[in-house]
Formats: sequence, structure tokens, C-alpha cells
Amino acid sequence: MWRWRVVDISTASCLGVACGIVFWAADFLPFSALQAILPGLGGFLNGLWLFAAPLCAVIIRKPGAALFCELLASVLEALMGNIYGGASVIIPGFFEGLGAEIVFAFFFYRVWNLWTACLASLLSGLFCWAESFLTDLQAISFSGPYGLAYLLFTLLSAFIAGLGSWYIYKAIARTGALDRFASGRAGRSV
Amino acid sequence: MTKEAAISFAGWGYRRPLRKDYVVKGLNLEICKGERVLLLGSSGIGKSTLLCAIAGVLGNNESYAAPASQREDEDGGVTEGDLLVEGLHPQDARGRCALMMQDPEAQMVLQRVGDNVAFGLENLGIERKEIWRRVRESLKRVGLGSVELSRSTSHLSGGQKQRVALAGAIAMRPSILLLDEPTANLDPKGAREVSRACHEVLKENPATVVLVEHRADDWLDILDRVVILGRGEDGLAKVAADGSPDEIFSDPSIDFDSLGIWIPSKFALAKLQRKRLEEQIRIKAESDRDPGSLAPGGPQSLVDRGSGKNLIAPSVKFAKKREFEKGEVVLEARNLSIGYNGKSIADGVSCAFESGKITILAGENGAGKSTLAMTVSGLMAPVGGEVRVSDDLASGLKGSPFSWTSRQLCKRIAYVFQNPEHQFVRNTVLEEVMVGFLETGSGKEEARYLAHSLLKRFDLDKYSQANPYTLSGGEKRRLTVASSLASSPEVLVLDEPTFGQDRSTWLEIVMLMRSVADSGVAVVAVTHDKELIEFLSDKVVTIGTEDDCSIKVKGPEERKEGRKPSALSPILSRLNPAIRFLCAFLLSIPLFLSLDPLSAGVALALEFVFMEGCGISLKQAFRHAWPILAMAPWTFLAVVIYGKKGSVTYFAWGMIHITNKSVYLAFATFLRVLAIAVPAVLLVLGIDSTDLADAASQILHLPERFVYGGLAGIRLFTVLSDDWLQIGQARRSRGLGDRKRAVRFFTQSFSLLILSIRRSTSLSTAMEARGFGSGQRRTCARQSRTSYRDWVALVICAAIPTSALILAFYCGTFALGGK
Repeated sequence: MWRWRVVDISTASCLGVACGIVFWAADFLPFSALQAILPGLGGFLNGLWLFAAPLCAVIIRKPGAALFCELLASVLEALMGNIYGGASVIIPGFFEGLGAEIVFAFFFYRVWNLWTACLASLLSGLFCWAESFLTDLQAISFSGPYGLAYLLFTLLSAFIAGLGSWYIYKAIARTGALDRFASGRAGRSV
Repeated sequence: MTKEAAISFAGWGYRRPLRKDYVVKGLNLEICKGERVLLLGSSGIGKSTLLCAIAGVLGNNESYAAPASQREDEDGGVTEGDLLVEGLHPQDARGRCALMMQDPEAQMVLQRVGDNVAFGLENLGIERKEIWRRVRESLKRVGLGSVELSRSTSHLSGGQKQRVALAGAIAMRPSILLLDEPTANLDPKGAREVSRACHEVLKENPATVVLVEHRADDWLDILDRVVILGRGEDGLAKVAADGSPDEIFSDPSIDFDSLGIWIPSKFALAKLQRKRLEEQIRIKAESDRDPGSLAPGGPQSLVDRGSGKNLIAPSVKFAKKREFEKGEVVLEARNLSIGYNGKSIADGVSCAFESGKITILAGENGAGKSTLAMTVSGLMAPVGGEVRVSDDLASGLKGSPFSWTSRQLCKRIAYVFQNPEHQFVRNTVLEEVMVGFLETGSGKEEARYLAHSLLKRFDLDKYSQANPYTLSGGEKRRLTVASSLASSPEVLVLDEPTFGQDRSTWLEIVMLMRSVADSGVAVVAVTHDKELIEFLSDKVVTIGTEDDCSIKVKGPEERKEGRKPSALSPILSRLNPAIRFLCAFLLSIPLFLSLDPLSAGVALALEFVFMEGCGISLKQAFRHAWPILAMAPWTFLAVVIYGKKGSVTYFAWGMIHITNKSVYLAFATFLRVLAIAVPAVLLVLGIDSTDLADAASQILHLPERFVYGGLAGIRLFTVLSDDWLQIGQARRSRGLGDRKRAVRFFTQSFSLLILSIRRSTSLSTAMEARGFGSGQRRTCARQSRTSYRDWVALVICAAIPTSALILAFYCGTFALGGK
């Protein structure tokens, strides 16, 4: 049950690629400008880089799916080139994937619902927040008002991303595209 | 002497995930070694399922040894009974069987031609030298010896792709070759190429062959047995007929028509079959023309029958818009140039489309039929010349169809795409059809009522609440036609309407087209289907490179393709891709230790020297890294106003504190962002994903299954841009192209996501059919090499930040995390 089938790998890859395109497109949003205008407001966009891990995990339902998908998406984002500096987006990608993965692992990869998806996204968001203050935002105090505002916005955005990933999964499952997956068969019968 | 069995089914059955009924149940069939079998049977009898089962790619049943009579696999399918392939369980016999499927695109796993053929051999664990020897030999055998191994598969025609798939199959030296409608999706030329290649391959090959093909004409001389599958009254699969081709096709007691089988034309029965077909179509056409008839007729009868309610709303034009002059020219190309992105593929095209008639645009795949059809239907911009519309069709609009809005277009010209899934926009069948009524001004209730009656006409009302994606192939096609008709267009264009359909669905579509045309609509079909042309066309326009074509196009340019440059400079491109990624990390990660202008500035300066040494000039660096320069000032600003506070405050307002320290840190951050980001961009730009995957598995030793799975996913990306374009065009033709940009973007993205997931599941079948993921040790056809250069680069990339940090340490500016 925990071993990945070929179809798991190919579908996770495909989702990873699709998410990578979204990541890359989101790189064009004025994230940095928002950061400068209102403290932490940029955090509100973070969800666009966070939905991939829970989405892939709730569809594939295998250990490592969240991490694999988020990593593959950021590798693709790196290969396409981006304003955050090519390969350096892989580092946050890794941490965000790890955050989501930890939540699903905590539930032994057995609990798949709206709440675990949101929880995964929230932890992923927390990791994303912490990663920023270890790297690009070292010069700003993480415990000051800016840091807290950024945390708040990031978590809010992560929560929305979690909700979004669950409903995207539901919508995909309705089309019958996931019939070969336990996730796609849950609650459907023909 | 009894021959040894190659394949034997005993009481075998399979049920698909989420289905109540078995596709196949209780099948008993034996195929001997070396036999060449044609497998026939109507659509849905499970022929493809059988081939997949033999190839061992049906479900992923790891517990197949379980003695239970019914076994559920992880795909959710259920198998019963026994199937042995050369005495083994099919999954253990993988590698002995090679499967070739009908969709050429779905069988391309990797980007380059050579790598695709090599893929199966790698999975079998064949040695590298032997792999390339077999790759060349197999490509030669299928007539592709002159194609470069590095050619991208996206630059191949359908027939060429299919031959690459065949080469990949025979390179594995299988003892059983399974061919699942290998020519169904190809034009006559491509089909000839493929069947010729198969003949060539099978001439001296002793392999057992199982072929599924609706049209057996081209294959007769290599076949020695025909098996027709049917269903008994008890619902169990049974062999309805079994014998040599001559026996079977001359047996008048077999009901070929209802089995959906075309009789090969060399047999006498074929003539009778054709006559029956003509008769059926003629009767259909007559019943349509007879106004008094209530027999299921053309769409015009829909509204007549549904009357009682106020159906004569102004929007319901196709009830009877006006008296049609049959044969009136409604749409016309005059001296038109067609092509992509302003580059023409054909000039001086002139042809006319008439109401109430069926015009066929025929010609080879890729000749430009679809381009012409899309240009006249307002989905592609004409490169030059004119698309003329009659005053009736324009009804007040000016200009060519391309200049109309989406909503104006859908009331006049509808386009039905080759892949129905490109044009689905709603979650239920009913809503799908309602779109057309709603977009042309009907109210919600009215639209619902009209959509219901239209669905009834198309015999789809039982699915009205189903999701469109879950319908069968023929049903999807009918749905797309129904939903296109809902906006009551006067011109209906169908792209390859009979593509890959069996004979019964074929007949259904033909009848449908006849009805629509008889109701006064100008029907245009883009096709290369001989029978369709023979039975249906009122007029044929041929497009191609040959002289006898009515529209001549320039042939596609013969291209020679070498490898693309994989980096910004020749020196960089000689580095291993994995090492290039490592270099980017080595250059950047240590710099996070200290936040000070000195270490960042020195590192940045040294990096530029390093880049210069690698052959990247400052100018080039700037050209590729400028977006970082556009972003960095904002980060600078954020730190200036919100950064850690120092002793001297220059300005304070609310949360904003500009202090001596925040300015200092901002400066340091600015330099460090550049020092980290610039080389990370310059080093990885241009890396080829296949090379990266090879390096990731061979140098970094990441798990192969995931690396190559991921790589195959990345290849899908190139296919997706085409899909995106078509989905956009489909939405325009359905009247949804005028929506707000954001809405259009999200709905279109969702369709694309579904499509790509479907592609990825068929990709997994193609990969498994080539032995991927079987757990056997894999070899790699391409060697990912490292040389002294890579080690030198790594050392330099480690030395740059280290020396910058040491310098900062001795100068006293080193500051861990900006403290």
C-alpha cells in the first residue's frame, strides 16, 4: 500500500509540473513590492507556492508525495528561470514540502480530509515563514511586528491554499480522471 | 503435434474500477506460439483490456499469488480466473511482451527519438553498447534510419511517432508483440508507413502477434488466424468465431455489422456490407427530408416535438430560422493565406461552403486541413486574403469571423474539436449543453428545457447529471456536437469526427452529420477517412503537397536537428548538470552565514570574475539576470524601513524606523541577494531535463523510478502548450471567450490540469509496457560523465564564498544572521 505504483509516479510528476508552472507564473507577482509597502503583506501571496504539496498528497496518498511534488515543481521553476535567482528557489521548495509531509506522516498516511490538508498547508506555511527569516529577511527581526504580521498573512494564505487544494482535488475526482486512485474512488460509484 | 501455448486465458475476467459489470468475464482462449492473430469484436467487448492484461499492465496487483478467485488490484479493478503468458503470470512475463497502442502521443516517454527507443532496453537492464546497437538497428527496420537520435519527438508526424513506438517495442526482442489499433489515429499515408514497417519487422521474426484493428485490409497477408469475440446470452465473453481469415470473412452466418467490423474489401461479403450501409444512410436522409415524418430526424424536429411551451423564443433559431436555399454559399475563402504566427503554409486558397451540404476537407495529417478550417471558422487569424461570409450569416456583423466576439461567433459558426475533452466547460452533461442556449440569450429555465430536449434527441438524456468526462468515446463525440448545436450555428465544422471510432459509432456519427446538414446547416468535416468521404460528401476539397490536390500547400521543411546549447557558454555546457546545480548551492548557501556588505560584495565581485572565466560576459550576465535587479531594490526598501533598529534614527513613523543599522543591513541584503541569485540563474539556464535526470540518478544517486517518472512528466509540459492553445480556441468557439480574463484563465487551467492527469495515466501504461518499474535493475543508455573540470568548478564555487567570509571575519564585519 505504501509502495508507489508507476501511475502514482507519473501522475505526481504531472501534478508537480503543473504546479511548477503556477509557481513560475506567481514569480511575476509583485511579492517584493508588497513586502516593502505594507509589512508582511507579501505573505498573503505565499499560498500560491504552498498548495502543491497538500494537493499532490491528497491525490496520490503515498509517503513522500508532498515533498516530491513540491520539489519537482521548484526544480521546474528553477529550470525556467525566475527573479528569485534560479536554483535558489529549490531550498524553500524543499522546506515547504517537508512541512506538509510531516503532517501527513504524523497521521501515518491514513487520514485524508479537509483538515489534514489545511494543517499540512499551515505547517508548510510556517516552514516557509521561518525559511525567509533564515535567509533573505535576516535583517528583519522575526519576532518584531513585521515578523508577526508576515507570519499572520502567511498562515492565512496557507489556510486558504489548504482549502483550495482540497476542493481542487474534489473537482478533479468528479471528472473521473482519478479513478485509478483510491482518492478518486472515495465517495464515487458508477 | 500440438503447439506450445503462448497465451492462455482460463475463465478469465476483469472489472474496471467503480464499474458494476465486468468488461470481460469467463473468457477461455488459447493462442499458440508463433501465431499471428487478429482479434475482432464490437466496441466495449474488452479487446484493449485483453492486450493490457497480456502485457501485464492491467492494474498493479502485487498480491496476485493470492488464491482468491476474485482479486482486487490497487487500481480498483477486479480480476478473476487465470491468465498465463508463456507459462508465467503476465507481470512476471513483462519484457517478453511488447505492447503498441493507438495514440502515438501517449507512447512517447522521453524527449528525444533515440532515448525513447532505448527506454525499454534500459528497463530490461541491457548493457549500454548493446542498447545503442539495437536502437540503431530497430530504427532502421522501421524505416527511420535517417532520423537523428537527438531529434525531438515533438517534431515528428503521427506516423513517425508510431514507428518510433514500434522500434521501441521490437528493440526489446519480445516473443509476443501486441498491437492495439496501431494505425487507427493515422492518415492513410501514416497508416501505410506503419503497416509496412510492421510487415518488414515480422517477415523474419518468429514472434507471436496479437493485433486489434477494425480495418484489416492492410494486414491480411501476415495474419493466420482471426478470433471474433462476442458475448453470450449469459453475459459471459465467448469466442464467436475462430478460424483462418479466409474462412471467417467468407462466412455469411457472421453478423459483421452488429459486431462493428469492416470486412476487408478483397472478400465478396464486403460489397454486400457496403450496399447495406448505403441503404441505411439513404433511408436516414429520406426520413429527414420528409417533413411529416416523426421518425428520429434532424435536429429541426426537436423543437416541433417539444412544442406546447413557448419554445419559439427568438434565440431558438435552428427551429427554422428562415427558408434555406440549399446550396447557398454561406462561407467562403478568397485568395486566403493560412498559417501560424504570420508565417503562411498555403497561399491563394479559395473554396466555398454551402448551406445544407457536407463539405469534406481531406488530406494528409499536418498538411493544413485544420489550419484552413480554423481560419475560416474564426479561430485563427488569416495570414492574408479574405474570409467572406454571406449577409445572412453575418446578419449585421462586419469583417471576417476572426474579428467577431466569441459570443457573436458561436451563434454563427461552431467548431467541434478532435479531442472532445478540449471543449468541455461544465461539470454535468446538461449544463454542458445549456451553455449554448444561455450564451445566445435564453433564460435559465428555458435553457434547461431546451437542453433536455436536445439531449433526448441525441440519446444522452440518461446521462444528463453525469460528468462529461466519464462518457464513452462515442458519447463524448455526440455530446460535443449537441452542445455546439445549442447555440444554433449556421456552419458546423467537425475536426476528424470519426477518428479512432469503431464501425457502429462511425455510423452513428455519419447519420448525425447527415441530419444536421439536412436541417440547413453547412457542415464541414476535416478528415482523412476514406469511407466518410465516400458515403457522405457532397463536395470534397483536398489539401496536400501533391499536384492533384485542389489546394496546394508547401510541404513541411525537412529539418536537421542537432543538440541545443545547454548553457550560456561552451565551458559551462561541458559541466555536468548535477554539478552545475551543486555549484549554485555551494556559491549561495554559505553566504547566509553572515549578513554584511563586505562578504556579499567580495563574493559578488569574485563571481563575476568566475563567470567571465567561464565565458559569460558582464553584458550577457546582465541580460539574463536583470529581473533580479528589478526585484532587489524592493527588498532593499523593505529592510531600510522595517529592518532591525540601530542607535541613530533618521526617520520614524508608525512601524517604519529608518535607522543607521537598517540602512547598513539593507545595503548588505541588497548585495547578498545579488550574490546569491545571479550565479544561481546563470549556472542553471539551458540545462536539458534529460541530462539533468541522468545526472540526478547516476551522480547524485537519487531513486531512478522517481527521477525518470519526473522526467516523463516534464516532457508532458511541451505537449501542454498545444493543449492550452486548443482549449482556448474551443472556448472561443463555444461563446465563452469574452469572459473576464481571470475567469477564463482559471477555468482553462482546470481543463488543462484534467487533461494532463489523463495524459499521465496513459503515460504510465506506456512506461509499464516498456518494463518500467518492474523492480529489475535498470541500466542507463546515456552516461552522465564528470571530469576534472567539474571538480575544479566545485572547488572554485566553494572557495568564493569561503574566502569572502574569511575576509569579512578578519576585517571584523562578519555578522552571524545580521547580529
